[in-house]
Amino acid sequence: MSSHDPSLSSALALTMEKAVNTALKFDPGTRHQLTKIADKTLAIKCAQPDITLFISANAEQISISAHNELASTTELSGNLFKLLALLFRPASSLADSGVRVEGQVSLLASYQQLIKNLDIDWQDAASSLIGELPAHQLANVVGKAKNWAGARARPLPTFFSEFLTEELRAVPHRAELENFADDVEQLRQKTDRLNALLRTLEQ
Amino acid sequence: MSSKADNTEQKTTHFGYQKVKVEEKAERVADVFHSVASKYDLMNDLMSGGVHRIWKKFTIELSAVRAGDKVLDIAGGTGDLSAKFTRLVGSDGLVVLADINDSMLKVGRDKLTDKGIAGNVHYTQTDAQFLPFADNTFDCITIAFGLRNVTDKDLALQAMFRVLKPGGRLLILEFSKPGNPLLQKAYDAYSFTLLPVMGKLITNDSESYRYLAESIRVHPDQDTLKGMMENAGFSACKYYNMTGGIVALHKGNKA
Repeated sequence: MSSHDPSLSSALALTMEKAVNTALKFDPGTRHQLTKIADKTLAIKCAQPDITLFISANAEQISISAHNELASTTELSGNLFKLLALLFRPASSLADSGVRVEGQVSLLASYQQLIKNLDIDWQDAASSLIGELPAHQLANVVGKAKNWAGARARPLPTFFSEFLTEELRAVPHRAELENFADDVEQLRQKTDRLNALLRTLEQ
Repeated sequence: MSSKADNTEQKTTHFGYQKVKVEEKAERVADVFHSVASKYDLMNDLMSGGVHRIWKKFTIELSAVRAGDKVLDIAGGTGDLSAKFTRLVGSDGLVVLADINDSMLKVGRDKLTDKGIAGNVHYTQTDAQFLPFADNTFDCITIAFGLRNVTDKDLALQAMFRVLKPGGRLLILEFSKPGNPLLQKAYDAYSFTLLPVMGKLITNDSESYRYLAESIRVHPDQDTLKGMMENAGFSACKYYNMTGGIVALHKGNKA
């Protein structure tokens, strides 16, 4: 008997699979691209938390499993954040990723490209729930709100940064912090030299 | 619980807690499923809180079915497993959805056809004890929540072994025995009080769901079923308890 109850990991895999395939229903382009990687399995072994998921594509759908009896095409091992960073930032280098990759690297590249090119038609998704006309109106409102918020959100981080450093003087400026770190480093080096000189004199 | 529960020498067998003549059991089980077929999926979701989908998902994961394979889904009923298998085997493979009950088979066939699944799936009304297929035909055989309704389980396991290809896998998903006594008590209370009430409300048939609860209790436990699979010739037999042992998935290979 296997002592491990597989229900929990299968439940996670089932939930993720349903969410991904529901989203893919509204992105026919990505669905079509899945045929190019059909029947290849990407194993993702996450150390923290300890879980392994197997991702494969068939019949224009993604299959996510918590257990797999067949050999994987590509295997990724690492912690959760490093694995997510590798999958969702295709530009990042494998060497610096902190993720161990075994097998066909091209399959990883294919999945990275699929994620990058994901283009879900949210209006289509909304129309299946509330009808075409309300979905179109909703998409217009959301689009305008996004543009309005985007234009105002861009300068916000700069404004807060300047307010905290220049006006409120609550936190030091980046240059001040760097100078302070340099001074500390020089003091450490001088102390080390003085310590070495004292030891020489004692002998 | 021993496989001798189906005592063919005395010509009687279990039908829930009742003892009935061997030749009567198939007919009485058929009546149960004729009665519940139209609302079977709805009842499954309600009774298990949707967890049956997770149990079936794990079964698919362990099946190792790949493109081009031939799969036999015995007691396939409304086609949950078959629908997934058709996707995995692709156009070069074949899934045979088999069920002894024509009402269940019709519901399954209509459901799969409505989903656009066709071409690589066949439907057959078949008794699991006497499978009408050539030796060494299938790469994988599954029977989900069906074995406990079979009159002679040993005979059915031998038939499955015969039609499985060498290297093929048999997967049996079935209600089993919870390991924790507290869970067993809660499960008994649920099965014998709430379940028949739900059956009465949804399908207007409490007796069928009383039979369901009883048939689970007289079904062989995990180790007994594993032994029965080994007796039928399967090797590397093992089982996985799910949801505290309420359900177990048994797996065996044909060497």
